[in-house]
Amino acid sequence: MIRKELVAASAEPLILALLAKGESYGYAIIQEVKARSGGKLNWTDGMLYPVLHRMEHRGLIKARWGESETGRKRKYYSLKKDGKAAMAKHHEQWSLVHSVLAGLRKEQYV
Amino acid sequence: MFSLEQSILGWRKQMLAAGIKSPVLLEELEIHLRDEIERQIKPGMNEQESFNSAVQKIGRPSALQREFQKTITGPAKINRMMSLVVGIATISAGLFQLWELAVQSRCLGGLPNAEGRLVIMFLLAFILALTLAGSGAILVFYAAGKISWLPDARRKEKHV
Repeated sequence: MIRKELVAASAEPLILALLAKGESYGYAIIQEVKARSGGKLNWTDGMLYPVLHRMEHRGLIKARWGESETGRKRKYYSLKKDGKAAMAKHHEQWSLVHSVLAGLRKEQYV
Repeated sequence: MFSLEQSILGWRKQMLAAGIKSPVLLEELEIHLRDEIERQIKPGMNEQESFNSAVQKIGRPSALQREFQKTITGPAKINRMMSLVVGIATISAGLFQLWELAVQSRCLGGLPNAEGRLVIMFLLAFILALTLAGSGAILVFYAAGKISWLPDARRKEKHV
């Protein structure tokens, strides 16, 4: 299981990246993250919503109420222009951390 | 006998009691809860087990409220801070007025023909003091997030 600090830090970039594929709602976002991480990135379900709301207030994403095929009301989130810019920045920073880590690891085995 | 609807109602009340008062937010969380219950019932879990598991997964109301509280940023935070300052100032003004009232009534009480004037002054000052202290208390409660009549972001949410 991934440490909670890392789970918390990765929430925003993951949400942004998922929403870049198209609009989605809270439950689907959690399920997709769970599936893509093989169940290792496990958020406390309710904690996703404060993150989504903060991102909405910061103007990174926007929300609209819609209906699912089953008729259930849903709040759909989608990316805004500032969200795309934030995603690019996150990507750059996470890539940098990854490349430093990968480089150090490689040196250990040379 | 377990009733899913009654249990969801009870869960909503717990959320409300913890301070999650926005109807939009509660609805969003309830939809999530129902989605999770539905997903768990499919493989054969009963309603009660699914409900208990979904409630556990969604998290404790107090922890959620703490996280949602962090959502209040920018203008909304300034709004609350200003309310706190104005509230404390108004309570102070109210208490000062009460103190003055006590001093004045002692001085005027010594004059033989000032009885009628004293009663009117006392009543007016008492009403003013109560109004000031009451308004101040309301502002302080607002600043502490105990009440909300200008819920900034939440008001915006209602129009979504």
